[in-house]
This record gives sequence, structure tokens and C-alpha cells, in this order.
Amino acid sequence: MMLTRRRFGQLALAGIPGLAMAQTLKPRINSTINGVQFGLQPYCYHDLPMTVENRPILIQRMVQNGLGIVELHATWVEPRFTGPGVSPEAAREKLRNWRLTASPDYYRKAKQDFDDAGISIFTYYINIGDNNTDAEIDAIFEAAKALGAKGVIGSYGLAVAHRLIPFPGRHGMFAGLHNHDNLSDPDSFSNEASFEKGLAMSPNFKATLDVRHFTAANGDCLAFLEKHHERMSSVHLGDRRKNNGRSTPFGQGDAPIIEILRMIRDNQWPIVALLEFEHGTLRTGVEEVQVEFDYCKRALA
Amino acid sequence: MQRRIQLYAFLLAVIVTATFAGAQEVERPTGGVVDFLAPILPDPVLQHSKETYVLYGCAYCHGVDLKVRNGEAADLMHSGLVGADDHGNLIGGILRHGIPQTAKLSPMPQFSDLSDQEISDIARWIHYARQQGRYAELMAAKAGPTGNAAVGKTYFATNCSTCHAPADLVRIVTKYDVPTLKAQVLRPALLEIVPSFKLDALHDTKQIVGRQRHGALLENYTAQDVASLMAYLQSAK
Repeated sequence: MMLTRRRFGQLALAGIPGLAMAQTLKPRINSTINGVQFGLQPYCYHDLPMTVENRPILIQRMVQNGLGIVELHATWVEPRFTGPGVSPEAAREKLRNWRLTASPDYYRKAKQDFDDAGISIFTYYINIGDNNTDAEIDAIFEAAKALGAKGVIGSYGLAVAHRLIPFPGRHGMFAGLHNHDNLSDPDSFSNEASFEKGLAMSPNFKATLDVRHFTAANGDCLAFLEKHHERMSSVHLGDRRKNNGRSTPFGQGDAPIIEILRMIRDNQWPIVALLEFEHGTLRTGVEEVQVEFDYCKRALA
Repeated sequence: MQRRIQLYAFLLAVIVTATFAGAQEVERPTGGVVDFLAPILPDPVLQHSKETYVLYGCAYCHGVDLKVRNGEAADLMHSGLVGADDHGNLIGGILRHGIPQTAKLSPMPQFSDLSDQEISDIARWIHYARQQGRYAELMAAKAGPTGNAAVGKTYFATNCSTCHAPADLVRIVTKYDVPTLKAQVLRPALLEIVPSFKLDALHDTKQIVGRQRHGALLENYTAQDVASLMAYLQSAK
């Protein structure tokens, strides 16, 4: 296609703001390995309490581990109202009021901390339950948006998911459905059937398949990916043994981690692999995350 | 010689208490990094037990010092099952089978592949940490309940008299002031000495039984038990 001088000039001018913006943007940490985007659920740093005060250490650690995507738990952002002499009910009420009045700038400042380190907030993790008012749920989605997250996720069951149906759509986001391995609670997300019920509730619901828990609940992770990959936002990647077995270092349990990663890579699915594990270790949090991340890198080499 | 042993035992008790207090200080809920393995304990068997407890992830939910970190986890510091456990005979069953049926978000996993030794190590750490925690709780209870000497006498007859004769009490009671006496009742210096593996010590049933018995009592005392026991002991003056 030939460009006229006028058209060339228009395009050049249009590009200047973008160029200026690109110059002000900090470089992002690239944690995509052969097409698979890796991130972290910072719960993995078991030696680092998930608090606002520890957020700078979290960011520093993610830079050390070379992970550029985070699933951020609300406790890294929200102030705490619990403490001596404060009843749980009073603390809960204070938190609700705070959420309803918190300025978007408060969250943008938190986002800036991550941006400055080249880390993107992928999802905002917060446990929504019966004690959340509708206004509070709207505020949570607004907070997630201000943080730059694409979705809100939490450990809720089918009943809460049903209540969440109208929320993600009106905020232009998705709500993540996340499983545990509780097969005795019919309300919980624990197996394929429960996911199917949840995903059928809304096109704005996406599955965050917790590989560890799904394996412990004797689920078939690979079959799940094959069937539901279009409705999946991410996997929580870790290892456990079947039959409600214990968590293990990667490769020592029954979760097909290598196969999952290769399936995502070879099919070019935009499913984020979030490292999230619970096995014990005598190493530091940073060392252990690196060991497991390196395992994944080798799987995709 | 006897005095020197007592002095060493006292110093060891102070060190262990201080270092454990340091460990609690590290595990703050709001800021800082948790070092699950610190402080390194003078007893290598206990240190290994702690490492086993950490290695299998118990500390992430139940807390290395049994202060619950995950709101769903059982409070091992105050659990009746742990209090009734004898060398892992109850804890071992829970570890081997987990608790699959639960109303909680996540069931307690099963650890059926652990060796008997590992189960024993985990149970050992739980009991040790519980003893440290209960001691701290009971000593901190300054405005505790009023003791009843008669109740204390019954408690003594039921739980202490197989090893301690009433005549011993007069000697003990006159030796210590009240706070020291309480500390001695809760955690005698015997509990703080790193066990020897010399053959004569290995088979010193008096010391072994004494250690176990005092450990079990410490794990299960209520503040009322301690107050009544103290009232009884002081009445022996």
C-alpha cells in the first residue's frame, strides 16, 4: 500500500502520544515461557504474611523470581481493622465502610507499585460471601478495575456464584470460579460437574482450575482442559497426591503439571499458569518459588 | 555438683524460654518475614521434629508455634485430641487418614505415605510447641481464678502423688517464691534438659516418666487447676 505524504503525516502525528506513553511505561517483566504466561499467587511465599506492610517485599521477591503477573489477594491492599479490643463484627463493619468509601486513587497507587516493578495484576482475589452487601461487591469489582485486574476471583461456592451473576458484566470483567477438594460439600467447586454448573450461570464466569485440589479430588485435569479451555482464565499450578493426599513439590505428586503446560503451549491457549503451592519446604519462599518455576521452564524447553 | 546441675538447668531453661519467645516475636501477623526454622533448638531431636513439621506443610496452616495461620485449621494448642494424644497414637491416625468430611473449604489432607518415624517426629513437635505455648499462657494469666486448696489437694492426689510425696512439697514450697514455684510446677527444670542417649539415661525410667507426665500435665492444665494446685501447695507451708 502506498502512503501519501499527507497520510504519512497523519499517522506519524497519531503515533506521537503512543510513543510518549511508551517512553513513560516501565519495562514489564517477561515471564512468558515458550508461549505460556506464568504468574504467581503470592500465597506461595508462605514465609511472607499477606499484608499491606509486606507488599514492597512481595514486589521485590517477584522481581527476584522473574514473575511478571500476579493474582493479588485483597489483604495485600486493604487495611486491617482487626486488633485487640475490636470485635470481629466491628472489624467487619469497618472494613465494609472502608471499601464503600475508598478512593480509586488508593488502589491506583497500589497498582503503581506493581507497575513500577514491571508486574501486572491479573486478578484480584477476595473471598466474597453472604456477609457482603451488593454495594460492597460492586466496590470490590471497582477496586479490581482500578488495580488493572481483568477479573475477580475467590473461594466461594455455587450459591455465592449465583449471586455474583450480574456483577462482572457490568464492570467489564470476569469472575473466577476456583475449586477446592471438598467433595462432601455439594455447594463447593470441587469437580467437573460443579464447574459446569457454575460456568453455565454466566458467560462472564471463567474457571480458575486449581490443579492441586482437582487432583486431590481425583479429577482429570487434562480432560478438563480439553473440554473447558475456552472458559478458563488460569490454572493454579501445584502438585498434590490423589485421594485427598498431601501437597508435594512439583513432580512428586499426581498432578500432570508437565502435560498441562505443554497442552497450553501447543494449543496456544491464553490460559495463565499461576504458581500456587502449599507443600512444605526448608528453603526460603523465594528459593522454593524459583525451584518450582524452573521445573516449569524445563517442562516447556 | 548438684547445685551446678541445677544452675545449668536453670540457665538452659532461660535460654530455651528466651529463644522460643524470640520465635513467637518473629511470626507477626502484619509485617516481616517468618523464619519457620528459627531459633535452632539445643536438642537436635526436637529441631529435626520441627523441620519435619515444617517440611510437610503443617506450619502453614497450624502455625509452627501452633498459633493458627489459616483460619480453617484446627487449633492444636487447645485441641482436646492433642491433649489426650500419647506419642502420636491419636495424632498419627488423623495424619494417616486426614479429615475428608468437613464443612470447611478445604479438608485436612491425608499423609498416608509418611513413615512411622516422620509421624512420630510431627507429633513430638506438636507436643513440644504446645507445652511452650501453654506455659506462656498460664504464666501470663496474672489475674487468674482464685484457687481452692481442697480442690488442689484432690488434683494433687490424682495426678501427682504417684511420684511426689506430700513431704516433698514442704521442701519445694519453702524453697521458691510464688512466681518461681508456679513456673516450677508448670515446667520443672527436668523438662528443659536435653535428653542424654547414654545407656543409663536411656533406661532411667524415673526421668523418662517424669518428663512425659509433666509434659502431659502442662498440655492439659486449666488456669483453675493451676490456681487450686498453687493454693494447696502454699497451704502446705
